Amino acid sequence: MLNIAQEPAGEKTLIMHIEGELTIETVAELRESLLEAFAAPWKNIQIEADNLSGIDFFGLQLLCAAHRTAASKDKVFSWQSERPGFLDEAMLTAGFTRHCGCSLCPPGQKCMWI
Amino acid sequence: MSDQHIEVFREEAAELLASLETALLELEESPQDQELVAQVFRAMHTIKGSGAMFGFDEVAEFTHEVETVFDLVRKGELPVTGNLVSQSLSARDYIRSLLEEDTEGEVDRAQGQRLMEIFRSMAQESSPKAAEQHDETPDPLEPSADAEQDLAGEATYRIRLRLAEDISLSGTRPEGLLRELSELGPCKVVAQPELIPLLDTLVPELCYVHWDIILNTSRGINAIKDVFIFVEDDAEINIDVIDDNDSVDSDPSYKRIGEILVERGDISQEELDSILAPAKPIGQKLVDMHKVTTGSVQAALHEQEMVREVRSQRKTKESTSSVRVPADRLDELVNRVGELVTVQARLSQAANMRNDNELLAIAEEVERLTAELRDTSLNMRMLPIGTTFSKFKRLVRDLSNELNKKVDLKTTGAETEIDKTVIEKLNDPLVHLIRNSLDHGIESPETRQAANKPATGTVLLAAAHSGDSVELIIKDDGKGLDRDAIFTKGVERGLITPDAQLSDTEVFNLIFAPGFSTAQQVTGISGRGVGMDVVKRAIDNLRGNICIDSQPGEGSTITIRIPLTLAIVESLLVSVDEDNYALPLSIVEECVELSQEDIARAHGRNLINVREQIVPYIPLREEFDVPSEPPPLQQVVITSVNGTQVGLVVDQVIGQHQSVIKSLGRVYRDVQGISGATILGDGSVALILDINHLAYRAEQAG
Amino acid sequence: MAEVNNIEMNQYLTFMLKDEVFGLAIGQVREVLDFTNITKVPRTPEYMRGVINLRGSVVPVVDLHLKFGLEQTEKTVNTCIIIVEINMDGEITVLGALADSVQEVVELEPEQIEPAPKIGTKLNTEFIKGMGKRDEEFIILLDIDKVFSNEELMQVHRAEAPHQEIS
Repeated sequence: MLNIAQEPAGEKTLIMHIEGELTIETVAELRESLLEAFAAPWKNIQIEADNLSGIDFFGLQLLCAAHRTAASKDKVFSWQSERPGFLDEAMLTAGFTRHCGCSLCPPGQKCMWI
Repeated sequence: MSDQHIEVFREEAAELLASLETALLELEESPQDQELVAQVFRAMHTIKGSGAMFGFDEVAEFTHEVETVFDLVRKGELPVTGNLVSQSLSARDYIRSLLEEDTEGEVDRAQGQRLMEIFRSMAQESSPKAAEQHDETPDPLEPSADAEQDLAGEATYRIRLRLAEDISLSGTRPEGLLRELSELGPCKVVAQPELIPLLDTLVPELCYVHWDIILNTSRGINAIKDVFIFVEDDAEINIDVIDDNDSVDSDPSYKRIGEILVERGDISQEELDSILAPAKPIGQKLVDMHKVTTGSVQAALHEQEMVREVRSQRKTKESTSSVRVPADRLDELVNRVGELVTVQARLSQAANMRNDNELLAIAEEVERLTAELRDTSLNMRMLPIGTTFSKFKRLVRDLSNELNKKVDLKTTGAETEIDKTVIEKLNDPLVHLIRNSLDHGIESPETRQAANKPATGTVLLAAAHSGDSVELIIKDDGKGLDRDAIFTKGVERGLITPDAQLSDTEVFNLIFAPGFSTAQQVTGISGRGVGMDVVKRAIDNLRGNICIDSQPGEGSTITIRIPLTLAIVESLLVSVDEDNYALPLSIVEECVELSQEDIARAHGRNLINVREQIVPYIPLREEFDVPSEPPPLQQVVITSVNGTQVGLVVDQVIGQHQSVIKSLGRVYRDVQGISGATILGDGSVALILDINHLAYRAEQAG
Repeated sequence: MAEVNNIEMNQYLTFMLKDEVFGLAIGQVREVLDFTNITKVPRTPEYMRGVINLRGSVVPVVDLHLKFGLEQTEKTVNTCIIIVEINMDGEITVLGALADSVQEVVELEPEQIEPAPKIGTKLNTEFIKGMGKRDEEFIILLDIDKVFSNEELMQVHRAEAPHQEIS
C-alpha cells in the first residue's frame, strides 16, 4: 500500500509525501503521480519519504528515473530535506550508493544517492 | 503465481527430468565424468529452487535430499555407484509423478519416504577420506570444489550482471540475488543506471539496471554461478577472476573503453592506467569517468556494447535460442500453408492458360516462394529422434534387469529429424518392437555363452534419412526367428495353405499379418494381446512400411520406412479414363509404354519386359473396374516397393504435382488401395494411390 | 452442436427424391450446392458416389436414390448436393447427399408429425423419424444419422471388396 499526498509549498514547489511501501506493487502509482506533477508547471518537486515502511529495487529505480526526467525538463527533483537514513541499506544492497552523480546527471543537479 | 507460469515451470521441469535421465544413464557408463555429475546436481538444484518458488513444496523437500547427495559426489566425498544411479533414477521418476499428480493421479508417497531415507543415509556415509581418493586430474575448465578449497583459497571476482528486463515476472527480485552474492564474501555492488528510461516511457516493473560487482570469496566460482542458476538463461553474466598479473588482458572490453577515451583525448594515458589498476575501487573509476562529458561516455559505452556483442557471437555457444510455440499453432500454420499450395497450383494453371507474360512471371515467383514456405513450415515440426532414443535406453535397462538378461542398447542417427507427430506415433510401435527383441530375441547370458556369443546382447537402433523417407532399423543379435514355427502357425491360422511356396522373407513377414500373433505364453512384458499387427497398422497409418529379416542363431533385423512428412507429398499425376490419380514420386522409377503387342506377348499374364527384366504390372483399369476401353497405347509406371518392382498401367502420365494430402475421412477409412485425396489446380479431386496395397494384391493374384 | 432454440427444432429442409418429398432437420444441414463433379472412389458401394472438393476439403457424397432402393439419380439442372453434418461414433462428419431438387424450409409443429408407418414405404423405417403433414402432402422426415450410420457403410465395404487381404 502506498499513500501519496501532494502539498504545494509556494508557487513553484510541490512536495510529495509518500508513506507505506514503495515496491514493485506500488511503483506504478507513484509513477502516475510523478508524471502528472512533471506535466504541471511546478519547478521543484520534492519527495518526503520519512514514513516509508519499505522500499525495494524497483522503488529505487523509479526515483532514479524521476530524477533524470526532471533534469530533462529543466526541473529539479530532490529530497525534501535529508534522504531518509533507512534507505541506506536498500541502496547498498542494490548498488545505488555512489561517490558522485552518474554520467547522466547534469552539472548543477545533485544526485539522489549521494 | 499464475497458471501460465506454473505450466511453463512444469514443461521446463519435464525437460530437465528427461535430460536428467539421460545424464544418469551416461553417468553409469562413465562414473568419473565430472561434467555429468555437475549436470545432475544443477538439475536437482534448479528443480528444488523452482519447485519451492511455484509452490511444489513436496518436490522441493524431496529433491533437496538428492541434491545433498550429489553435492557430496561433486565434492568427491561420495563415489558414483550403480546403486546410486538406480536410486537416482527412481527418485527422478518419483519427482515426475509428483509434478504430474494433477493429471496423472497416483503418487506413491510411501515410496517417496523410502527414497528420502535412502538418500539421507547415503549422505551420512560420505567421508572426507573419499576426497583423497578422488580423481587426481582436475578438470581444467571448471575447478573442482576441493581444488578450490585446498589451492585457491580466496579469490577476487569481477562480475558483470545484466538481467532480463522482465526478471520480475519470474518472481526474482534483483536485490535477492545481490544479497545472496554478498553472503559469499565482502562485495561491492555498483548499479549502472544509465539505461533507465524517462518516466513517460518507463515501465516501472521492468529492470533496466545492470550491475558491476567485485566480490572477494573463498567459496569458489561455482558458488557464484549457483546464485544465478535460476536466471542464467535470460541473463548475461560475466565472471572474471581478477588476477594480479593480467587484469588488463583478462578484460579487453574495459581496456577498450579506456582506449576509446584516450583516443578521443578525453582522458590521458596515465589516467587510463590508474583506472585499470586493480587496486582502484569501482567508485573511483566512475569518478574518473565522470571527468569526461556525458556524450563521450555514452558513445564509448555503446561501442563497448558492440564489442561485447561481437565477442559473444564469436564464442561458439552450443545453445541455440529457441521459442516455445504451442503445437496446435504449428499445425494451423501447416494447414494454411497446405491451402496456399493448393491455391498456388490453381494460380499457375490459370496463368498458363492466359497469354499474359507478366502474370506468368508472377505465378512462377509465387510458386517458388510457396515451395520455400512449405519446406520451412514443414521443417518447423521436425524434431531429432534422439529424445525418443534416450527413453529407450531406460526401457532396455529396466527390461534387461527384469528379464535377467544382459542387453546393451546402441543407437545411431539420433540427430535424424522427423516430423513431431510421426515421432509421437512411432513411440508405441518402437517400444513394442524393442520389448519383443528383448523378450523373444535376445537369449539369457548362459544360453548365449553356450552358443559362443558374448553374454551381453546388443540391440541396435538406427535412424537415417533416405530420399524423402526416414529409415529406422531395429537389429538384435539374438536367436532369430524360427521359420518353420512361423510357417506352421501361418497354416494353423489359415493365413497360408500348407503347400504355399514362400521365400524366407515372406514367411518372416507373416508375423505382421492380423490374426497371427497370439502368443502362447503371455509374458508380463510383451504379448498382452498387443500384436505385431497393431505395430503394422500404426506404421501403415503413417504411410510407411515395415519388414523383418532374420538369420537363425544370429538375430533379426526390422526395417521401417516412413515418409518424412504427413501433409504434403511430391507425386506423379496419372489418369485413367477421366479420372486422375496421384502416386508418391519417391517410389516411381520410370515410365514405359505398353502397346497392344506387349500385352499380347505376355500371353494373358500381366507382365512386361523392361530391359530384360520381367516386371509384373497392375492394370488400374481392371483394378478399379473402369468400364471403358483402354487406349491403344498405355503407360506403365514402374514403381519400386520394398525392393520389388511393380508396374501400374494407366492411360496417361500427366506430370509432377505437389499434393496436399486430404484425408478421405471416416467413411472411406477402410478402402484399400487409396490412401487419401488431393485437390488439383482446376479444383477437381485426384485420389492418392497406395501402392503397397496394390502391389500386395498383384502378388496375390500372381 | 450448440443448443438450438425451439423454432429451429421444428424447421425442416424439404427436397425431392423422384416424386416423394423428404425433410431434413435444418440444424444438421450446412449448405446446399449445385451438382458438381464427383470423383468416384473405387471399390465402394454404388450409393457412395464419390468425393467432391468443398472449398479445399474433400467431402464424400452419397446417392440417396440408390441408398433407398431407387434407380440412380439422374443429373438434371435441379440436381443438388445437400451438405449435412452427422454424428458418427461420437465424431462430427461432413457428408453430401444427392437430391433431385431442393424445395424450401418448412416449419412443422410436433402435432403435425405422425410416427413412421410400418408399411407403405419402400424405405427401411429405421431411417424415418416421422411423417410430417403439411396441407395434404406427406413429408418423410429422415433421421440423417441413421441413414449414414457407420455400420451400414462399413458393412457394405467389406462385402464388396472382392479380394480380401489374406488375414
